[in-house]
Amino acid sequence: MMQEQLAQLATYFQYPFVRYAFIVGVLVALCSSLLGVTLVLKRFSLIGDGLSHVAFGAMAVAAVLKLTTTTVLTLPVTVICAVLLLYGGSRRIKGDAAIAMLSVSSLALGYLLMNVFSRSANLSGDVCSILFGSFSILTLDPLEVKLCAALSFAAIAVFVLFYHRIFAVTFDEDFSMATGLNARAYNLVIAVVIAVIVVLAMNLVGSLLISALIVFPALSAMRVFRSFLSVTVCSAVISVACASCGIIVSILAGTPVGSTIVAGNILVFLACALLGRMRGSAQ
Amino acid sequence: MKRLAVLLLLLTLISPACAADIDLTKMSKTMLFAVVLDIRSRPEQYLGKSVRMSGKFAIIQGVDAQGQPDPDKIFYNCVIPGAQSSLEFGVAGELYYPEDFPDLESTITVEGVYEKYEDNGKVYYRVGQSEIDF
Repeated sequence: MMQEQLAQLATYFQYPFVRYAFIVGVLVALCSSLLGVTLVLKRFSLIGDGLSHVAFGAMAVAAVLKLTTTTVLTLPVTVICAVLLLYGGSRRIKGDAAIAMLSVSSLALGYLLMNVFSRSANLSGDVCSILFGSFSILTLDPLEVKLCAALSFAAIAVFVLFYHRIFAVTFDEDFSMATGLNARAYNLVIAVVIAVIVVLAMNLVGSLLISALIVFPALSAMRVFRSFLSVTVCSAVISVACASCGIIVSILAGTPVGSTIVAGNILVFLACALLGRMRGSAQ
Repeated sequence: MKRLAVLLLLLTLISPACAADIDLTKMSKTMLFAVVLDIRSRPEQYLGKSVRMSGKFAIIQGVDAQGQPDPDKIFYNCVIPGAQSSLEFGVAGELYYPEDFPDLESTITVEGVYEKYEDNGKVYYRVGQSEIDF
């Protein structure tokens, strides 16, 4: 039985799109987990959700305009919205209200546009795939994979290069500004990187489940570890493991890719919460 | 990653030989969807490979060079519900529609070799020289 499953898996890995899905899945999971720690600590966990809905709206417009690579439109639109949400200081609608407004507006207008202008014979299937990432990760072409890899490496490089500054801005923005650090500039960098990750993650888990990819690995790691570095490393390991296992389970068992990955993250979170509680009671 | 690739390759070599290169009847729902989509979007990559599929029988009425329906030109299709798509197939031997074919929408299993052909100056792809089980 086990050998049959492995043989089946080997057959599936002969298809280029499965290898692409695996590479992109691992890279996106790694990126999202790195910045996820910062977002959770800065209490911006739901920003991923809001931005993913913005990306959905942009993707609907791209579909209506018949753009072959939707990233061309979704990426700049999401980056602008991320900057407005995280960086815009003087505005009348603030915080969660701005996120909620932008999120539902994009979702509603995106679906409206797709309904009115789309010529697809299977509109419900298309929308479902964008929202829940049922199969979209398995439909990537080489150009999308290269773009995704380049953006992922850029996001990882930014995090590694600015690690100490991101650390400072994450924990105490006022203190870091007092020490001469340009906190607003680093918030801008974080906003842009988050937007990039959201756009990339849409292919992996769909727009409704992106928040799970960002918050669950960080929250799981925080149950077990205490320092920023150890939480970040553990979060990255959990995220990559869950994405890899999720993709493999979904192609073998025929389950939707996005929700399988998130289900894996939920199980790991429960295990980490239990482990953290056991360690706490032992101490 | 290299070790994983070598392990998977070894497992492929020791696994029992499959009659068809691409057996859609044994694939999970996720892979079925992705493979059929890949066949339709990159057909040249699948030319010469044997394909086995199962689904509902359907036909498409062909047209002549002037765009008028041609009663002698019928294209046979296998609608694969799990893939939310269909693949065309051509039959082996002299078969006539409808007497030698199953009822429309009845379940069929088709096996043949993926090929391309021309009709009215346009290139199309199908699972050619197929055997049909119904």
